[in-house]
Amino acid sequence: VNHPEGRGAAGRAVSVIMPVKNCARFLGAAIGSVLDQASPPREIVVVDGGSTDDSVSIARSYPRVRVVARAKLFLEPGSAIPPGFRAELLEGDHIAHIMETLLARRTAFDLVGGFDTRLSTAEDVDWFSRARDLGVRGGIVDRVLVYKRVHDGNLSLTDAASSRNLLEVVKRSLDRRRGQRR
Amino acid sequence: VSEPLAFRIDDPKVVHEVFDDEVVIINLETGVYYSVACLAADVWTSIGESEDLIRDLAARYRRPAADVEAVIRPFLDRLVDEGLIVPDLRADGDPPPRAGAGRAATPAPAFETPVLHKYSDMQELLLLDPIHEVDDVGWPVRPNELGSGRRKDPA
Repeated sequence: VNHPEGRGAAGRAVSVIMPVKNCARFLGAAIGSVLDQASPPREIVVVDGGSTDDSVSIARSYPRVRVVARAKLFLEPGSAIPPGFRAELLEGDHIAHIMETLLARRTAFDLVGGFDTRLSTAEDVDWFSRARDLGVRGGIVDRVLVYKRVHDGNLSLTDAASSRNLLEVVKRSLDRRRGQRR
Repeated sequence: VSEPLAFRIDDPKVVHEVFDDEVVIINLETGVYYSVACLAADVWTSIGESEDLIRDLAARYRRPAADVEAVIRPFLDRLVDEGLIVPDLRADGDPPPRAGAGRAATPAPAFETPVLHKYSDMQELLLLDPIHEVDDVGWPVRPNELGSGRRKDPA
């Protein structure tokens, strides 16, 4: 299916934002897979979190890729936008955020609030558990739409705080349901 | 009382953290999580620390070992069934720590039946980042990715 340049099936402009840190060995394949989509995005923004390998130069070798260097990014409405981002990219009416395989409507962020930026990992689990506790309903599309590469550098596998963050998120959820604040 | 009971937490698939008077435990393979408090939390935090759980808990709670075993054994069996702990079969070991030592002046804590609270409502969320044996090739590997180098943007 051919859609107008940079627009998805619904005719909306799509920008792909790709957080990267020391991913030179996989970055080319990841960018290539985005460009190979039936509806390529308007742009790809690679947000580099301080790579010391060739990630930045690889990203810059693609004309349609913009690189924002040395930034930490939480993608959500109202979050601080690093220099180089156009604010309107993140403020569409419908889909506000995409995390790997999960989409959330902007109205859900209005209800649930943003991500807890103190969590280096598991901030998505925290957000979804808060959404669920507030009665936000979700659905599962029973099709494989995205492949996620799991490798030995995944932050969720290598961050020493990862398990502790998950446990903290679970504890908060337990306390919410018991009517305690945490 | 039968032979000494010693277990270890089945890490890294099981992670746990003490929060005030509660211990939260997650089985990362199943996405099921658990909460324990009071005696159950005491038993949990003694696992891996004690080479004879029954003896040490009996000393701490000042109860006959047979009474302690009657209460603790089913709880330990449940932890094993849930895949949280495994028997620790170390034949040789350091001298066992005396968990009850030094507490003689304080009153024995309440000895109530330990409870394992089990929750499976966050499985989909907790399994978002699956545990895999991963190496520098990554997972999954699809055949058409092997050997393909960087490609230029056709635009």
